[in-house]
Order: sequence, then C-alpha cells, then structure tokens
Amino acid sequence: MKETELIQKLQGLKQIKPSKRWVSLTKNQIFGDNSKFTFFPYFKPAFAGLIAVFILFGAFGFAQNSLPGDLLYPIKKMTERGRAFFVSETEKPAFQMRLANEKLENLTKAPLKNLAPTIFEFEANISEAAKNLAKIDATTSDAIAMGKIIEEAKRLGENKEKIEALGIIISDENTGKLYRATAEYLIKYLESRSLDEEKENILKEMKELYKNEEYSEVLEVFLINQ
Amino acid sequence: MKNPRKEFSKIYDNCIEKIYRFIYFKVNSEEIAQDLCSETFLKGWEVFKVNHHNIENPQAFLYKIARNLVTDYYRVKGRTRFISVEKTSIVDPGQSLEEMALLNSDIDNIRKVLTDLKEDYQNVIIWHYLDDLSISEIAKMMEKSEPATRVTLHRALKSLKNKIKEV
Repeated sequence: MKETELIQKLQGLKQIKPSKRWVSLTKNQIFGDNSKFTFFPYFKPAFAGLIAVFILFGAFGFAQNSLPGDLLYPIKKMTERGRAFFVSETEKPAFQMRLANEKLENLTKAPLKNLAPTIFEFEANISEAAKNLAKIDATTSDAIAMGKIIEEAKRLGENKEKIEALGIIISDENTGKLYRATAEYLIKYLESRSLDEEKENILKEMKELYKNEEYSEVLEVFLINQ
Repeated sequence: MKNPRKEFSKIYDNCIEKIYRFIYFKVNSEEIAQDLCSETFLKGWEVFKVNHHNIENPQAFLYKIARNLVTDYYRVKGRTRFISVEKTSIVDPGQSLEEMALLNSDIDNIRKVLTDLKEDYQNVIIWHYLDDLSISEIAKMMEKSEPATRVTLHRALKSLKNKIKEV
C-alpha cells in the first residue's frame, strides 16, 4: 500500500463521529450547570432593567394606598405632583380639592392613623386650591370646570362634618380662604352670564352673604337653588 | 470584552468531534468515550471561565485534558490498555446504517491497527491526518521540535504500514 493511499484511508476514519443528540445534550449539561443551582435564575444583568421596572411599578401600586407619614407616601406625593403637572390651570382648583377630600376620607376610615401629617397635607392641598382658584378667570370658565369645583367644595363640606363628628377639629383658616375664593368665583361666574329674574335674585342673595363674610353660605345658597 | 461562555461554546462546536474521536481511538467504547469527552469539556470550561485570558490554544488545552483523563482511566481503574480490536465496532453506534456501510474493510483494518500503535505514533497520526493539525501545532502539544515531530510522524506511518502488512 502506497503512502498516499494509506493517508486517504486514514482520513476515512473522520467518519467516526459522536451522535448529534449526544453533542447537543452534553453542551446543555456543561453550560446549564450554573443556572441549575441558582436560587434566582433570572437575576442576571440582562434582566436588571426589567426587575427595576417591576419593583418601581410595585412600589407605585402600593404607594397609592399610603397615608402621609408612611414610608411610601413620598412616592404617592411624587405621582400627585406628576398628575398636577398635566392638569390645566382651570382644572387645578378642583384637582387640589379632590386631593384634600381624599385626605379627609382616609381619616374617616382610620382616624388615629397618621393624623397630624394627614391634616398637614390636607391644609396644603386646600391652600393650593384657594390660590389656584383666585388665579383663574371665572368669566371665561366653562360650566364643566365650574361644576367640578362646586362638586368638590360640596364634598369638602360633607367630609369636614364627618371628621368633626369623630372629634377631629380642623382649623377654619384655610378652608375659610377656599370658601371665600369659591364664593368669589361663583359670583363672578354668574355675573358674566345672562340670568333670568329668579337667578338674579339668588345672585343678589349670594352677594349679600359674601359682603357679610358668610362664604360657605354663598355656596349653600347656590347649591340649594340649582 | 469577549464573553467566555460564547467563546467556549464556539470552541466546543469546533472541537467536540475531534476530541471525541481522539478518545474513542484510545478506549474503543462509545459509552466510555462519551463519558471521558464530556468530562474533558466540563473540566475545560471550569478552567476557561475563570482563566480564559491565559489559554493561548484552547484546542491543545482540551487535548491535554483528554490525554490525562484517558491515562487516569486506565491507571486509576486498574485496567490494562490492551483492547480487543476484534470486538469493537468501526463506527459509532450513533451513526446510521447507511453511514456505516460507507466504511470499507480496508479502513476498518487501519482503525484496528491504529489502536495497536504506541501512544505517540497514534497521537501524531490522529492529529495530523484526522484532525488536520499542522506540524508546528503538533510539535507544541508533544513538546518536541518541529523536525523531531516530522520524524515521529514518518516513523508512525511506517509502523502503521508494517502492522497493516502483518494483518
């Protein structure tokens, strides 16, 4: 047998190969070992972003039920500020009043929980609502914006009564300012509209109450005659 | 920076057949060849994943592990290295009958004779003619000079020829 012939036959031995199934299985076993015993197999850098998003969404979810003074409350406050950023100027008073109402409603559910920080946050919302209400032009406001303000103001009165029935006294200083701003807004709103005789009389009555600094009564008269 | 897992995965794909064949010629058993081959790559990966920067030639590194494992297999288990070539099959049982039929009797004889060659001769023939390694690569693995490796290869072929004549 010549050398070239021998080499050719030697190369025929290349046909000896392991089965493809075994090759694939062995590869999986070799590279799969680390993940097999990992307590948390998804904790890999590639998943870090995803995990962070899940944690963030979870924290945001839990934070929505938190009260002032709770660990997650700063997150809730951050989301409130974010929401406020997207609210239009004419809707801001109603929005702040709604936040104030939520604080009072939380207190009616758990009166002793985080009382001081909740009242503090309530006062801040009320004060902000009064400032925003004073800024907007009632003469150009539409009926929907006005309706929302009145609805929240009415709810505020009801919630305040519930809280006071539980023995929690809230200072009238800021709520008084808000009622004054609301009364002023309502009077200006009605003045800019054409009214029939009956409504003109109601407006007159409201103005009288406003002069006497009976601001919450202005709102009451308006609501009764609606 | 290269990912060691991806890098070793490529090495695995390129070398698995060669290392398997290399071991198979020495143990003549599909099961033992599979065990020793998977152990070779497992040990290789354990070292490679922490020390891959220092491994210049991964193929040579794997052959070295395989050689040591085969030596350990015969030494530790107290087995003799005599292999009854008459009882062994030429092709891996994983192959189809069609593939098996392609191997002619001459090749079968060569395989039997190759198994009987001394280790250095067997290695140099497998590496050069089956695994297509260059003389310089083989010289490095055998820790010999290139001329000395050429002489070994020449003597290995001559020995193989003589043994074939005897069969």
